[in-house]
Amino acid sequence: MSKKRFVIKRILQIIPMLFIASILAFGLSHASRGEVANSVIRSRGMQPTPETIEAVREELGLDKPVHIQYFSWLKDAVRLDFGNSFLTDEPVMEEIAQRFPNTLLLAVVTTAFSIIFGIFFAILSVKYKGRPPDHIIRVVSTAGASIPDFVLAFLFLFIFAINLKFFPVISGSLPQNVILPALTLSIPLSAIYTRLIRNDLIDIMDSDYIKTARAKGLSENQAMIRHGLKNAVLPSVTLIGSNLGFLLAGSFTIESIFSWNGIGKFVFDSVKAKDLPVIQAFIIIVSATFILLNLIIDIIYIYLDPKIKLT
Amino acid sequence: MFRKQVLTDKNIEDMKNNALDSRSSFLKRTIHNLKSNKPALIGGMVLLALIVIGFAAPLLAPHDPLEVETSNRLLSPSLQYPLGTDHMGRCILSRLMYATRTSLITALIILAGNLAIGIPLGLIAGYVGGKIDNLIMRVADIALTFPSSLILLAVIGIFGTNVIYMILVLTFLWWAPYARILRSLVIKLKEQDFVMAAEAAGRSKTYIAFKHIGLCSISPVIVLATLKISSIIMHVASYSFIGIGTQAPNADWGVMLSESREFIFTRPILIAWPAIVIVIVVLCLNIFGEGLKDALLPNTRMNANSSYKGD
Repeated sequence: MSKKRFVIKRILQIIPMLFIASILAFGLSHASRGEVANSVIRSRGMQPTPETIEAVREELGLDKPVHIQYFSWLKDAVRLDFGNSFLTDEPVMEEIAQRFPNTLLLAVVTTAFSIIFGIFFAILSVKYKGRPPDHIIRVVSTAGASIPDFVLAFLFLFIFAINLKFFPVISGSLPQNVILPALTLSIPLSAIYTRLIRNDLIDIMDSDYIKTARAKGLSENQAMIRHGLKNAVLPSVTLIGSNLGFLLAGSFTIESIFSWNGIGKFVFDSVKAKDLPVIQAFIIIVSATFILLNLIIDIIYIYLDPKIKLT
Repeated sequence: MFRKQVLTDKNIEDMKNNALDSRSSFLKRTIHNLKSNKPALIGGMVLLALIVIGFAAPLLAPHDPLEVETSNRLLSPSLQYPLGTDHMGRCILSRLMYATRTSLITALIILAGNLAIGIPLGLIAGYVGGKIDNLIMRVADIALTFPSSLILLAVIGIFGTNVIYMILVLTFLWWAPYARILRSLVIKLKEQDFVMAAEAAGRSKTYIAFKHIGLCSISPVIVLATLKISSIIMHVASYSFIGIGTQAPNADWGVMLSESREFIFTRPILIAWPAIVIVIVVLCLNIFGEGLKDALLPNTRMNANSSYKGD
């Protein structure tokens, strides 16, 4: 398949995904229409009686057939208008936009940590292949991938914040306090990257072009880092990108445990309070980000890796 | 989309021969191979013990896990309460046993659902090919990339909180890896001599599918399922922790963690117990799964960590 056809196919593929996401979010807004009418009435200082509810429902178009409601909802959604939060009565979009930079910071720092750790330990492991450092790294990376991040979060909170007092228990979302939650999120990821990169690097170190590099007088380290590493990291690029997508969606558990005021914690709190407009906006925005990010990564990847077989 | 092609012709021959030459001793040989792998053996035994404890919880547990006794709040370990009591005076040991039971049963239901959907769809996609294959694999792509947490949030927002929704969402999202592996096996097998011979000998497609493909797919499916179940367990625990999975007061690791959260300063041990059990279970599953992979599929690369295991 040519690259161009692949790109077109891949772009067409996101349409059903965006449609599913929009149906889910519309389903939520449909489920919450009673409360929306009530809150509109109250915000106008009126009493919700059957007559006023009927009037407002008509005004908001909630009495029309479902598919017409879907399209008018879609029109608002495209303009990022998701109504007001039940709790704060502020526009949902503003609330999310306010918190997104925190999630972005956490996602970027986590990704940076996990790539650095992953590459570092993979190189170390391959350099000492079959010797103690390699064994230790393999055991630790198996263990690292086996600890759920929220368990790790409690452990770090207990050790570094409560006992050693390196960090405050309540992060207050200050940039300098990003280290603890980022470390928590990056450990399972680094463990996975270490294992993937290590396996690829071992295969590559046996290949002819590395032998050539050695033959022309490069040391083992130079051959590995200058020639081997790039190709060993390449297969992990899609995984790193897709994990960045998950991180940008905000981690409910980690943000909540460290009181990191990102969109993950916001949604966690909104689920508890049954604040449906927030959940609705979150689903649309996060799935759109996630789907587009994956699309971009896949497209970049086929241009990065000349050996790729397109399916 | 760009996953490494893990199945070579040689692997398939191996699997076929492995399964055929000693069908009766398949289990015996697997156990023999595992025996030489100490960590996997220990992991498997610990796992077995925990499974027994979980399923026999009603017989073994010293107390009713839901029995609230406010006069016994936060007791230290004693003969009557071997691990002490929690903030509502419930026996921690009994709760842990029942939590193990709940989590294992939930995870097994989800896994069974994934297999029941993924295996037939993979077989059909591989065998029939063409448009149907294309459709099934596109749906699989969507199911693989969509974050389960988003769909679960929407479903719960619309229908209310119930553990059933978590089971359904994960069942209908995570069948794709099995479909993929079955499909690629079938496509490879169709070209193999023994399948063509069987076809030439007039065997029906159903017979071939069940006998030959069944034999070859046992090992990869078992290995993949073992590696995947740890990720199911972690997700279930984290969903229960945020309150969109198993609901309090039912005993579940995630529920126990979220109930103990506020005691991190005063009684950190309350958090430690469920955390320790989750880590042991997931670690043993991963070590055992890796061992099983080495025993059953010595020359194949398979990675259960192809997607992020956070939220």
